[in-house]
Amino acid sequence: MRLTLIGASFATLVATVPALADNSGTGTVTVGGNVVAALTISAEDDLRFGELVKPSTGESATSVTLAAVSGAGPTYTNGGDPGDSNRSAAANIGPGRMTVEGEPNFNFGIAIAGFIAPAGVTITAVGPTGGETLDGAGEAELFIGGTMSATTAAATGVITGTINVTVQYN
Amino acid sequence: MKKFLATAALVAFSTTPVLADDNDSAAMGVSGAIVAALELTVTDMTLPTVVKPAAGEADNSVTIACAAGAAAPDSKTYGGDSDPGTNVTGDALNGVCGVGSTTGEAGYTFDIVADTVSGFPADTSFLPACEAATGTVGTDFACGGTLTVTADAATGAFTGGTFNVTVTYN
Repeated sequence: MRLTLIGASFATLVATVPALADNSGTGTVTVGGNVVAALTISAEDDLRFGELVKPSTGESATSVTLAAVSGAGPTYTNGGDPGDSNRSAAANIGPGRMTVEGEPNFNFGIAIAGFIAPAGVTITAVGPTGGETLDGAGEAELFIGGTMSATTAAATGVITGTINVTVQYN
Repeated sequence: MKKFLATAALVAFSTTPVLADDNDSAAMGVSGAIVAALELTVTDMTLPTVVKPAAGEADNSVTIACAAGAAAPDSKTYGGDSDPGTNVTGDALNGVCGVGSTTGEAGYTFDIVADTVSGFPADTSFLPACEAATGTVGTDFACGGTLTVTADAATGAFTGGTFNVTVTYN
């Protein structure tokens, strides 16, 4: 009797376990990837405003503007032109130039930080308008223009400094 | 079912580009210089006495040539029979040059333009002439000119004739 009960109980237990003859499958996932080059930027030429004549007492601000394109020449307002072509030579005046390297044909954006100028002087820098794209070799050349303006409060003399330019894939 | 979802997520992740360094910054040099405004002050000019022509005669004239930034004319020249002789005293005998004095960026040079004559009596005309077409900041320059009178001109002293002198950095 004892043996019979044990045997019946075992048989019942086995019967309640699901059949496991085909309970798993295997698939192969094809994985794609795309590792792109890091985006880097280097400064090549400074943004050079050259000389600007400050306004006389009672006059409005003078300014010099350089477009963000290769070979841009200065545009003066309110008599800010210092004259003398030597003072406006390429070595002294012209847009900034930077090179960008990264993944070919990728688009990127540009952010330009502000410039803390001396009292009476304001300097703003601008990059190209619209999105930029790296060429087929993964390179791009950026020109940075801007405007330097002076009020009667400006002191005469040389101004130097730096502006941070950031590029980022977009 | 759970296993299937996990596999799908893995595939989606693998097709996203790896952008370990998607941005970069660089400092671009900025340079400029502020130049002092060019300011001009001038003194009044006095022309020598001149004799007007008799009716039917050609115009007369008197010219003072000025040099070296001096108020005293370098020379006086009468045209026609306009010389009143020596029976004239004081500054009116030889005339007084207008003297231009400038302040601005030391050592810089500028162009000098004299024009826009107005206020002279009827039947006279005046042609200003400064000593040079260019000057240097801090160095005075003088201006003279030629007064021409016709037979119809009224006699008598006059004031109020003016001409403009403009200096511009070159």
